[in-house]
Amino acid sequence: MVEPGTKMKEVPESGPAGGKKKWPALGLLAFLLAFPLMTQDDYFLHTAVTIFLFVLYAASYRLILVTGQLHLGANAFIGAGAYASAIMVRDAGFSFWLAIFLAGFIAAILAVGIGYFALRVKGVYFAIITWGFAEGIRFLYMRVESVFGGPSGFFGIPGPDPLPFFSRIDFSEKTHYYYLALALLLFSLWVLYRMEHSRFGLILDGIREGDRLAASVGVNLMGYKVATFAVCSGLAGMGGSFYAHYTYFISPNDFTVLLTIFLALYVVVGGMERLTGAVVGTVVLFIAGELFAGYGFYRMMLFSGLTIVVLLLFPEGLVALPKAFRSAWAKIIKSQEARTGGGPA
Amino acid sequence: MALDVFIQTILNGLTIGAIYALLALGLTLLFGIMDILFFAHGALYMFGAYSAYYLVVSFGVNYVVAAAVTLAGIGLLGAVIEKVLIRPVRGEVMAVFFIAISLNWFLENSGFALFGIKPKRIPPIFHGKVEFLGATLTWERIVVVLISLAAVAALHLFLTRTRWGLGMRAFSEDPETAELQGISNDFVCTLGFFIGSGLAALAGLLVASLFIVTPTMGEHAVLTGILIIALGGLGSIPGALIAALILGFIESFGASVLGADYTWGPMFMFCVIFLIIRPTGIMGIERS
Amino acid sequence: MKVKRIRIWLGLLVLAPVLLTMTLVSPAQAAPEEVVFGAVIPLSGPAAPWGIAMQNVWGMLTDQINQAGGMTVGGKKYVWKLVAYDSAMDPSKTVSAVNRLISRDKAKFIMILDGGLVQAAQPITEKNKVIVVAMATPGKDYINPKNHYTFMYGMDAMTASFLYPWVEKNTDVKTVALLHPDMWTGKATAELTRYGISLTKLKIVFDEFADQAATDFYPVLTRALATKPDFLAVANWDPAVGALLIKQARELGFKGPMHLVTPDIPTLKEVAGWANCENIFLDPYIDQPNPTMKAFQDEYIKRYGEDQWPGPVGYSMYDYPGWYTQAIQETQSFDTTKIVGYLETMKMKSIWGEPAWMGGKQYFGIARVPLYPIYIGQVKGGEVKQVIDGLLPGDL
Repeated sequence: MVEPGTKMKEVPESGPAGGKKKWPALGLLAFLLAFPLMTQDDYFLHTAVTIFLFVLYAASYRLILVTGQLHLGANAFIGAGAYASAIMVRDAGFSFWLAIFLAGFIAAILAVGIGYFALRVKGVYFAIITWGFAEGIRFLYMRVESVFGGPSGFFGIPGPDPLPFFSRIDFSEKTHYYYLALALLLFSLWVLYRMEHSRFGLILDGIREGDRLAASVGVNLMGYKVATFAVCSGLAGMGGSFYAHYTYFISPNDFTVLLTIFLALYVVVGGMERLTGAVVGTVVLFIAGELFAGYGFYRMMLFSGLTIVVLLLFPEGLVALPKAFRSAWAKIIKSQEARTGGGPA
Repeated sequence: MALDVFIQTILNGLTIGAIYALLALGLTLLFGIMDILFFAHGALYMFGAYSAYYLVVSFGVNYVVAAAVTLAGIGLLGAVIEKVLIRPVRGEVMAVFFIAISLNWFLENSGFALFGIKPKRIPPIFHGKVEFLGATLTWERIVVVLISLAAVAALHLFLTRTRWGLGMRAFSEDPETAELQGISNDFVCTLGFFIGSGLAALAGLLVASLFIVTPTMGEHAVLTGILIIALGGLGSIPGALIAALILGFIESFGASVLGADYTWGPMFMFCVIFLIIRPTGIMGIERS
Repeated sequence: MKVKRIRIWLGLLVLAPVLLTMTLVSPAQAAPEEVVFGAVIPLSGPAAPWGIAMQNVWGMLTDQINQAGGMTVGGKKYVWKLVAYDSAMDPSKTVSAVNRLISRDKAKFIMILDGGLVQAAQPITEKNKVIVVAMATPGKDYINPKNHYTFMYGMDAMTASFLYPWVEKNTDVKTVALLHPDMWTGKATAELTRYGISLTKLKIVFDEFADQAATDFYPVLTRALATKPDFLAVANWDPAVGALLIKQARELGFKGPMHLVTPDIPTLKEVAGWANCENIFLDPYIDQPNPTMKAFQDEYIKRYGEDQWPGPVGYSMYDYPGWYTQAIQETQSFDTTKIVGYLETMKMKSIWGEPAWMGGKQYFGIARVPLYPIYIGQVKGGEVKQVIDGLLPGDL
């Protein structure tokens, strides 16, 4: 799974990051905050919310991949968060604001539970175990109808209750959901970024590049792997909870292995190396999917064709584009020099 | 359980198992040699079924000839796929994995465009059935089981007795040394894909005469196949056979005792628990 | 650090123009002359054959209506425009597509395939007073007085209420085994079948679900047949899978009658073998397709090719374009509340014959199910006999 020559992450700087490079990110943030004011179109808002949610899923998924584990069960934790939250709010009368955190917590506990056993192995074995586990959980949703609603799904899920002091924000409009989704996404990205760009993250890198070596210098492999697995799954679970209260209806088919495969695709196409990769991959592929939406069954052909081409040309992901350009450019320059007979003797 | 139901359930399990084994065979070969879970196996299985269908029903070709043509054709398709799509990124595990998945989607959807929307089936070639202690087994199922087992045996012999087969195994253990010994890596990979795809096509064309052919038949097949080869030990052929039979029996008895709707969950959990305890599968194959 | 900044710029570069374009490009306004006939149907994935067939049917029918002059309301001419989006049988994509249809395409009439997906869409469609027709098996979950604007495409498995009384009266059948596909449709079918049987004294000896994607049904059939039923109901499976069930049930020794909904005879012959179809009830089945059906099928095949003809299930997609047009013309309005009220009492003609009207008040509490003459056939001696011939459904 680990390619030799993978770039080690840059050492995190101490102190606050330099002011200059904050501007593009802040500009993007300003744009996203102002977006709902520019358009009242429900469709665009819905697309944006869905993209935020998927970026959240993909970003949290990516960190698990970074620890060197091919995870095929992310859908289980998203679903667990969704169902847990839905049951808590609809059937047990909890407030959404409590439920979303509890749901994330439950998803994290679930992750610890399966992770404790599954994370002992890597590669394809881990993939199949997590996939099997996700299917087993989905089986529960399908068959324990009294609790989960069965194949026809779980509906009548209430939206979030109005904010305590700003009771005008009662989630009757898409705009309210937009900001909530954005807030959730930013929170998750912040958590993931801090995890990765810290000593914790360096150790994760070490684990990915050579876990036996890391263990031999005293790193508690299982501890780090399980912790990462739990945090990422918990965040995904919170995303799932949001999803349930946004669409008011969930069913076992919302959380199949296909969901995980799409997430993995977004991350791999975007580039696993950096967090931005998950963002870029998700946005690009999701929008591509929407753009192709009108083409009937050619849509999937176009989409999969696109991903094949991207993967062939950029196996390291879109985020490696600048590097690819630079190395291609360097190659062109070099071949020019060679042809004109220049260069050192 | 009444005796005739019991016997029927056993026979059912055997049939399911044998068909699963055929599906898993190509997958485990490809994994053993190339360390890839080749998802597009499902699409090739589907193409094999359709190819046989069109040859037999639309062109009136004799079934055996159609089978041979299909095997060769899909095998070649697999070889081409290897050369064009896999080899450029060989070594980039994630890229290969996702190219295979995307390819599966692509081929599956092209199936709708190419083959139309109505499910099809090849007319039965072997008619009649056999009664055994109150249970029935149709001749066509018996033939499919026999062919499956023959394929398993043939592949095993190929890998252990022929030059090319041994070359493949050498490659899977240590590609560089194999290259030094004169076993061309490229050739092994292409040959591996040729055989693996041919096996997928074989499974497809047999199923085409037994069940129905739809553009999406590959999905369920490849997912089950992956479960089987993991259970059996990735890369192991005897493992694939044993795991296929075990899952076949679980499915059969599960469906007959618990009901089909209550079987698949426990079946997955069984695999998960087994793999947690013994990740290397039944045959204990070490694979990174 | 320069490298990192380049990456952020790259992200911006990719995101911003796309989002900007989406914002600034005004959504295509449904021109006043075009009325959108919306459809959210699977155009990819295993259910794609249904969706593609529907897209074809409605495309053809709206074209025909337009060519015949379209609609005239308040002196102005209007034409239909079919806008279909792929649901991929996914609730999230369905909601997305419905949103798109309502806010960008200004659709007021949407056809949605699958009851589960209809439910996912209803919060939005009901709020926006958009008329939805469910291409699905009727279920109380989504056909109820609370969902004022949601209709059924047809009777679907409600015919069970007429089949089973007929079976009880005219055959020796005493016990029934039910096998449903493990999905939303199966669940709804199960409820309707049980209801139909409850109108009789027949006994249900087996009642289970099985995975539609499975290819080998021997295990579950073995279990079902162990209960020694007289009658096997395999209603509402995908036609080819249903045919496979018939074949395998016969191989396992079951000789009794079976019930198959939306059968397709060529598929039955190819997959099941016609000899195995002896005694099967085909629902719906019409011996002599009437002129409307013949014209419809001929026109479809001429336009799309023989390979794309979905079989008699295509008839179930036929009625609504015509009914909408009729309602709009007769109320001289596009106001959906008015149209809904009018549909409840409109005298309709169905492709199945006349009279046709909106019913279902007894079972659902609201009249949202089109009722029309029922035709069911049974295979006897290699020929299909019309056993229920244009029976008018009573109060449902």
